[in-house]
Amino acid sequence: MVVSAKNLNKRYSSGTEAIRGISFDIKKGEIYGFLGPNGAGKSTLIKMISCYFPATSGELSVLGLDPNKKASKIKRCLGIMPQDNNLDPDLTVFENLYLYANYFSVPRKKRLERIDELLKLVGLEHKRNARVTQISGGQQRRVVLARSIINEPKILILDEPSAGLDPHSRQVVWSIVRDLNAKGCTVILTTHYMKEAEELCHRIAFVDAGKIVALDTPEGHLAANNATDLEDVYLKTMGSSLEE
Amino acid sequence: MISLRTYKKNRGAGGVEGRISTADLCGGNSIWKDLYDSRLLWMRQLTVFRKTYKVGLVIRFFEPLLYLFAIGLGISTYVGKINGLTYIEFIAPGILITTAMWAATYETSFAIYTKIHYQRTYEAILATPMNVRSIIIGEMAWAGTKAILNMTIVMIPLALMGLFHSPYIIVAIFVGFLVGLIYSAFGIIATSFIRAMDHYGIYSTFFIMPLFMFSGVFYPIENLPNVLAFFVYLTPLYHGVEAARLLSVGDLGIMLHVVYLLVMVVLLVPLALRRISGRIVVA
Repeated sequence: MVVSAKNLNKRYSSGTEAIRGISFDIKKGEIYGFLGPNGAGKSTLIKMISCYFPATSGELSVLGLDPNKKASKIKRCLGIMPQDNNLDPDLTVFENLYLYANYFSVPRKKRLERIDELLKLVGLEHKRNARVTQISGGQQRRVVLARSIINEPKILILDEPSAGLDPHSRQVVWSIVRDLNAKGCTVILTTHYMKEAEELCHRIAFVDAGKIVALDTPEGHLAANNATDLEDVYLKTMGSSLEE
Repeated sequence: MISLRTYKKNRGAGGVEGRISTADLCGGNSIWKDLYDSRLLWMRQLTVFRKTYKVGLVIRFFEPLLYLFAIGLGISTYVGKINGLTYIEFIAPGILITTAMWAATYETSFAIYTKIHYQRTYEAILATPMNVRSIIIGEMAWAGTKAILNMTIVMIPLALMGLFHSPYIIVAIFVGFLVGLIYSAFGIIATSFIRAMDHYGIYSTFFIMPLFMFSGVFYPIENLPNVLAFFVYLTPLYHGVEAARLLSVGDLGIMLHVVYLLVMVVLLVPLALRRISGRIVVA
């Protein structure tokens, strides 16, 4: 297992209980999705896995290591694509990627090769020297994706990867994720976009109010709920109320 | 809401309950590892600076000279010598040290607030092997670097004008670096409390400006009422200004002032780290 969680709890210092007794295992090489409404605890789970902050209680192991003790070592093997395009606005596309590779101590020569490779992968070679503020939101998202894999991660974590993307850019992102997974990278993603979960995930965990309420393959969810698409499964599992 | 009375830690169960400390957010890294990693944040700052330095340098160069000439030349005709120095010679070392103060204040107030709340720069960096401690130490080191850079730029014309009577004034750069670290800690602590950009006006008006005006930059503090002078003796800018003034006349008796500044650095840096960690990582 690359990620193993047992009875994980997280209470923020404000008193909010975001995660209540969650247990799950993520296998090496799978694409694992967390689906759920806003405030369900998906981002909190992602943040604990990516060593952003510690759990309140419970056991969490990432790549066999304790995030409370070996966060730097774990993060060296992670790639994280956040929900927001938090690129450095004062810098160019190239500079953003170059500096990010610096944080991972990617050797200088390899860094330049890797940046060229990634810009080609996301179709932005022609924007290499453009300032981040001069490219579109969709292009920025592709740069964020390129940045998230600059260190050739063992686990790629994607928080709403398709948010704000046009259909073409979305397909580019999915294609890249599938290729990386085919090469052995484990992928963990959160999404509201059912089609994305159906297209990409090997297993999907539905999260609501800090708990996993259902876990299965996409086909398994459809069969268990006698549904034709995941949106039906989602509404049946979560309820169709807007209450959060 | 968890009250401070329920503050407790539960590391044995694999989690951290209650108030999360800076160390809890460092994922097991030693301070030495984080000190080493802080160079990466410093390098990021240098990269941004190289793109934006032209405007910043002009302002940082112009402002202290404006004070020096407007006040120094304007008042010197009415003021005789102070401790054997002309008025402009008297205020020059203080202006030099305040250059460090302003540089550090800017780097750790608006700049950090913007990175946390608008650009979300630290969120991106925290997805790498860096942590809050290496980030903030890097920011403070950069603020100290800007303090040194700005002081050097201002020192050159003042020295060419013959306003310093000793080459020992070069040691004032080290003093200015310490003042820069202290004011970077102040700026970070202020940023940890601030909830909106315009609140910096409160920090500037009620903290920075009073220290600037009452730290012996423009007049000997012996002129002040004893009670006020006592409080001024406790402020870091006063000690920086006094040390620079002694150095400008070739007096190396600055040990007391340097020790005071070092103690302030040791006390304030951990406090700044502790305060800002909770704003950068809401846990």
